Amino acid sequence: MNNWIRKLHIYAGLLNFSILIVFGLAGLVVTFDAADIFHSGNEPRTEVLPFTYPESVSDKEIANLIAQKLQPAHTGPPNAHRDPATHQLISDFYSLNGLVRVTALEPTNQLRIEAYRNSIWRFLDNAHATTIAERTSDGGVRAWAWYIEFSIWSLIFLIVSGAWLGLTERQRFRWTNISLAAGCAVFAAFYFLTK
Amino acid sequence: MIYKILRNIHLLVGLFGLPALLTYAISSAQMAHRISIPQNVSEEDVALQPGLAPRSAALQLMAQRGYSGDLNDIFGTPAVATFTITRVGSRYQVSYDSATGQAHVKKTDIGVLGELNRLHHLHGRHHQNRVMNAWSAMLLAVSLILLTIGATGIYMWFKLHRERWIGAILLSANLIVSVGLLTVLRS
Repeated sequence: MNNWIRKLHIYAGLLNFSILIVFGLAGLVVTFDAADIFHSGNEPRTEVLPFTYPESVSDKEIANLIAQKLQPAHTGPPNAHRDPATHQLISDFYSLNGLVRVTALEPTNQLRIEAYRNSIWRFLDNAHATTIAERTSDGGVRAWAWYIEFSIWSLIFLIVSGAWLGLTERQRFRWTNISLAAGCAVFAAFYFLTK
Repeated sequence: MIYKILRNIHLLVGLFGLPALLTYAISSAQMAHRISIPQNVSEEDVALQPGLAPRSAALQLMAQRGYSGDLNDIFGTPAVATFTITRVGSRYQVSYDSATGQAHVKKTDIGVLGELNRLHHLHGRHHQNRVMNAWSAMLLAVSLILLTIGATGIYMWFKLHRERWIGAILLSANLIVSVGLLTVLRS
């Protein structure tokens, strides 16, 4: 049976190699606190477009009309809110690439569009967190989310099968048990001290 | 010789990281499937010294009741202050009346699933709690373990001649799909 488990362990690992790398890099990105879109020092790309504001519609409906007009790439539904200082309607469109912020300039019938593009590191961090819980109609994001879903279950299988293979086939190797025991002890200490 | 060394590294770092890797994997499944986290709420009143500033009241509460964690959300008037002490597994929302010294504590426990979820999101060294800061070392270790397991796994597969063809097909499929999707999403 171990031959089959080893085969499946190898195949699952190869099918998820790049995602393991993405997960590992995402951990490094937050550990070393890579600059996000608001702290990168890069100015957003800004443009102003004409826009006709219909009367008697809610902020949410205006945000949806803006989404229909602009169709920002790979974003989910807009997050509409009012600026507490200026009371201008702001529609935020988040994606793996950062943020597209659209400010409604109603007196002049215009939209101000600011595109904040993140670094490749923050992009990978966002990519690792894109799951099937994401609300989006974008095909690329949906496909990636399903790939992540496949990887989550594959990772669980890789962990369990790897532990099984290690503990059944490498039992005579003294460091096998020491390594597992040390890992469990360190984790248990963290778990109970942070709990 | 190199194969033997890398095989041992693959085994030992994998086993060392096993509990933490399981934490991240299980909490990922919980988040992806929006599995709800049960909350257990309990309340109690605690007598503190009157006339304390919010931070002093929090420190006395920590010393008196053994609470620890990050102190945040400090609001209030000179008469009543509110603040929150947050740990991985629980949150204390405190309302402190400086005239009487009475503190009302609402404690919310989030159970094992909630703790795994909070550990998944715990990062950085900006916490007031030292152990929570130390977790960033665990996160760094897990990240390096994932990269090491990936790299050593690829090497070991390549050395297994009987798996080379089918493995090459699977690895190519992985790279084409993932790099292709990431390129599309970055555009």
